[in-house]
Amino acid sequence: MNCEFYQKREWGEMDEGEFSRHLPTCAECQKLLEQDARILTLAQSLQKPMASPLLWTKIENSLRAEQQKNRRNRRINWSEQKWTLLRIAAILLIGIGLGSYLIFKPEPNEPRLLAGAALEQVEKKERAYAEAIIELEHAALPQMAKLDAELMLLYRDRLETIDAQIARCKEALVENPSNAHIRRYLLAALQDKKETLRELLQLAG
Amino acid sequence: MLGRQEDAEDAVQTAFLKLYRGVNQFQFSAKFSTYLLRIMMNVCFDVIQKRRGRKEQVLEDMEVAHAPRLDLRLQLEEAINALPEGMRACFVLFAVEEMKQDQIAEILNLRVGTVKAQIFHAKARLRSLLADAPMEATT
Repeated sequence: MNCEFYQKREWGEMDEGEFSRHLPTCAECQKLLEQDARILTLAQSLQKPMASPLLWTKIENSLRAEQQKNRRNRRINWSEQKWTLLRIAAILLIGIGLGSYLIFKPEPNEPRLLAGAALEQVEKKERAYAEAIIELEHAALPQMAKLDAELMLLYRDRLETIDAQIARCKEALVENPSNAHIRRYLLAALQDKKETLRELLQLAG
Repeated sequence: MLGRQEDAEDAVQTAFLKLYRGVNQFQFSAKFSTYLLRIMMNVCFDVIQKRRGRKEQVLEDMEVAHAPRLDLRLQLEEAINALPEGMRACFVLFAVEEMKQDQIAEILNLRVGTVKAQIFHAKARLRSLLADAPMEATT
């Protein structure tokens, strides 16, 4: 083959128009084109193989067998993996439980801080109690002598215990005045002292 | 492509099984028919590879099965079967199945230029193989 035009055209390296212009002038290309056209016509006329009537049944059967094999494998896999899955489920449950506990656990008894306005309100209440206590002390303490000795000792001990509690709270509040927990104890102690003095006053009166 | 009806039917069956097993891997960027044909062609290439191991037996079978053939179409069939597998695949899909070259390229995972070259070489070989045959007899 001396002329390269036909090959170039077949390989898509030559424009069809250019080849058409070349074709009438080249006997070699004309011959090749004619031979190839005959080969293609002959190839297209080749009898397409007829599938045997059982082909599709064979395919269906093999697909069904494959499906059953897959199902068996899945069953085997499930029984093998059952315990692994159960273990994973147990770990997940423990994890969820622990997570929930950490998220929703009750607040620890850590001292909470009082904000400015609340602190003022508490201090105001403490001052009111303190004033009331001073007044009651002035009135009640001189009356203690009127009580019998046993009752007097009992009230003295009780008041001393309450005073010690108040002192401890005040001491703690020096370092941490916004501690609501200590403030609550202090208020409770002050209230207790006020009630005790009032009780004492009533008994003596 | 395989030259024998039984082999072709076995290949179709195998292709469907492969399709069933690997249908999850189908990417919707390609046509499903192209995907199926690609599987089919790969199965055909596998069959041809296996045949190489038992080439002599097959040749014997073919000699028995195909006595001297006078029919030009049968001669062409034999000539096509004698082509190298890649060239044969391109030619069969182009000339017999009448597919476009770009589609063939996609099925066989080749460049269009390679497909064109393979078809060109296939035709050249067939021309020489059928050189002595009276081509006019087909028309």
